[in-house]
Amino acid sequence: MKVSVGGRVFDLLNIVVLALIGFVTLFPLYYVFIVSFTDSQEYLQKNGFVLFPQNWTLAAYKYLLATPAFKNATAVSTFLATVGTGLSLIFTAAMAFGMSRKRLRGRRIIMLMVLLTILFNAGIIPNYIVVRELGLINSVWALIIPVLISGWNVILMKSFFDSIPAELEDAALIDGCNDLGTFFRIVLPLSAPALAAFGLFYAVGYWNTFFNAVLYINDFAKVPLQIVLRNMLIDSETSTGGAAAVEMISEQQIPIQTIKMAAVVIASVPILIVYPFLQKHFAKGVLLGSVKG
Amino acid sequence: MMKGSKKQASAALLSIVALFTAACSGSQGGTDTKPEASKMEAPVTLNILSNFSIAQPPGPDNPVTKEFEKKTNTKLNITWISDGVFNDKLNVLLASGDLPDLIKLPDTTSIPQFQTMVKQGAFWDLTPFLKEYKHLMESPKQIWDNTKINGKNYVVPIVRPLEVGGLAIRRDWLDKLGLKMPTTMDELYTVMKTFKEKEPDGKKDTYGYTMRGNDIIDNIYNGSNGKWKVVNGKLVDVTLEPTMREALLFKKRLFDEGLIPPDFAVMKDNQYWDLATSGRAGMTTETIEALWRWTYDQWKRDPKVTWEPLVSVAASQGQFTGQGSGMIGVAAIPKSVSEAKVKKILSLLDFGASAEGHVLSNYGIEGVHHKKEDGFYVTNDQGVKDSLGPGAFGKLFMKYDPYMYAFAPGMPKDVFERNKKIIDAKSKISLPNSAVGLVSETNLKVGSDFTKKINDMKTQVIMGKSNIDAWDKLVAELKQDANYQKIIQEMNASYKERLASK
Repeated sequence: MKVSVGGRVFDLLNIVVLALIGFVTLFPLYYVFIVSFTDSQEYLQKNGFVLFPQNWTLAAYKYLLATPAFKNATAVSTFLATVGTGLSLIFTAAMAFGMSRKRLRGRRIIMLMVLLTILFNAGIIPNYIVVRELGLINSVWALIIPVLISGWNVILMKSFFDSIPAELEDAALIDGCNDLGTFFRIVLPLSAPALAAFGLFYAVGYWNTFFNAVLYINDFAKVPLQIVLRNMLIDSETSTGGAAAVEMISEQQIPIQTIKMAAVVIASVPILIVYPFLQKHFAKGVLLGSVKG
Repeated sequence: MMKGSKKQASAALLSIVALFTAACSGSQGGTDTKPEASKMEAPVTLNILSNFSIAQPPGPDNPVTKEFEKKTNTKLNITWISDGVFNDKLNVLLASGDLPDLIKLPDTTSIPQFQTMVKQGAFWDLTPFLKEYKHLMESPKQIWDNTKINGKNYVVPIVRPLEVGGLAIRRDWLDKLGLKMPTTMDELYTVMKTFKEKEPDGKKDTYGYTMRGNDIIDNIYNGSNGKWKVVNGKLVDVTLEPTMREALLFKKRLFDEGLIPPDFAVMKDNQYWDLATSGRAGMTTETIEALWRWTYDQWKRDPKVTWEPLVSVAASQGQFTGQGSGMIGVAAIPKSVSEAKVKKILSLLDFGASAEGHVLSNYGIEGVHHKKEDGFYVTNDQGVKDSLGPGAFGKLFMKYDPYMYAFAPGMPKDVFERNKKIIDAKSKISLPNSAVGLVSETNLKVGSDFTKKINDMKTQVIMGKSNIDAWDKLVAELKQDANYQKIIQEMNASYKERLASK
């Protein structure tokens, strides 16, 4: 088929515009990445305009990985993103599976309760008091238990499980499976795409834990990465503005630009790596439940 | 005069140098840390909440914390919360009643809940205890007055110098163009115009003034530090005064003649800095200490650069220079703490305000964190690792030193001496902000709406989007506005209360 001139112009325009958008999107990432490997002297000499450094260095990463706060925070965030995500998936799936089975009594009431948590939130202070009374202050579990199950995800997952035929469950029952067996051996393996999609949701959420940590964690050795990041990138920079400014020694402690960039790279790369692998399950996982066959 | 600084400059990269000022050596520290029987008692455990503003706070087994514990016979559980999230956390803790023994607050007024709680009696009135703590009482009365609530000391101010900075100018450009240091607004205008036209660095992109913190121009015209001015024993809102109109017209003239960046209204701090530090602006607003950092940074490109703080500038109301609040926060003790413990906490803070405590929190332990050289404290990398300095320990423990901001790491002695002279000259005339520590309920509720409206109008007038009549109209409206007048009344009531209690 012959493409008309207009069609070609249109294609060309599309390519140019999309390439531009792609460039604009990727450039900051590239810049952050490059600066994190640049020698800090060179960064200063070029006034921050580094597109391709002459002196590559790992100094910023070495500095960060030797900083206790950063090391601890990375460990905390990794713990949250792995253990937290795992627990969240199991609990969410278990709840959703139960709710999707017609023989469960009081399904409507449970559903209503789940909806309530989506519509209404108690607010910061009651939440804080509950967490405090449970003795979770300063514990990493304070960052997991209050956010273990997202009502929204339960509902999405329930509609996914709705599509698993009850006959399959009957068959498993006949073959000698109890409810738990059915859940772990039949249902979970069948829901891999949904688990992947929700796993990503949870993992991103846990990796980005910030405000709960502000509230519940007092010990700086136990805070997750985002708090340390914010502290390094934003807060310690404010020491040059306003009357509170002027902190003689802190000037020496403000991480220089390359270290900041390295911190950003370390904080964003794990999610960037996980994303493409889970992306293919994404649409399938979230949409499947909504398609009625 | 800047020659020979290279050695010092390179040393500055690795070491933190600080000067032991005369003010510090005036008193002998550690003599009154309650020696009586403290050897026998078990250490008192104190839970403390404080903010910090550096990359990482002191850890639990920090040697300086340990030293503080040893000197004051305490066990310190300090929870360090990063400045950026401190107010959020504070609000939650206050609301949930989960209070430590000593709580740090940004000031007495910005957390409304604190004011309410003080009135309900949730915090100790420290007034009867304080006179026994002589290091704390060495801080200027001005600062103690700034932090009083209903005439009483419910809080201990964490002190900082009163002279903080203001307008600053490129001295090397002045010299090059044969201009003298401006002392009036007219001279200031001439300097800006000459900077713009004569292009002292040979480039055509020079502005006279960055417009950073340009409220200082309002202050100079109004002869008032901030929104409130004391006239005949009453607080007057300078927004409604004709002097504010003059200030506006002055800024409009700067804008019209291109002496300031056209997009000043939306510029961020680092953009102002870029303008000033890249030689595209000859004047800006900055703290004395940070100016040195700029100078130092620019020496890499041009060793002649000299930023110099202005002592004061005059308009119709006389020479003006503003004074800081003299504190970086306040510390309060909840009523749940026993009286014996209150005294222990105060003696801890008192030790922090002594010469010994001051050195400990800022420069650490001799031999471990610093060595003394020629009156300077030279600290090493261990000091950075152990989070010394005003960004962490200094948020709780600080001795009043009027020259603290005159110094920065790596500064040559002549710059330091010049800064000290400027601070001395400023301190003779500097005007305090008469509204520090005063509260108006109505202002807490609706004040920010008014502020926004007023500031928007100012910007529009300066940029020529509205003419000065629109400003006059806004002023006339505010004079009629019931809520706005109520703010003025409440501020005055609060001010009278303070006067009566003095």
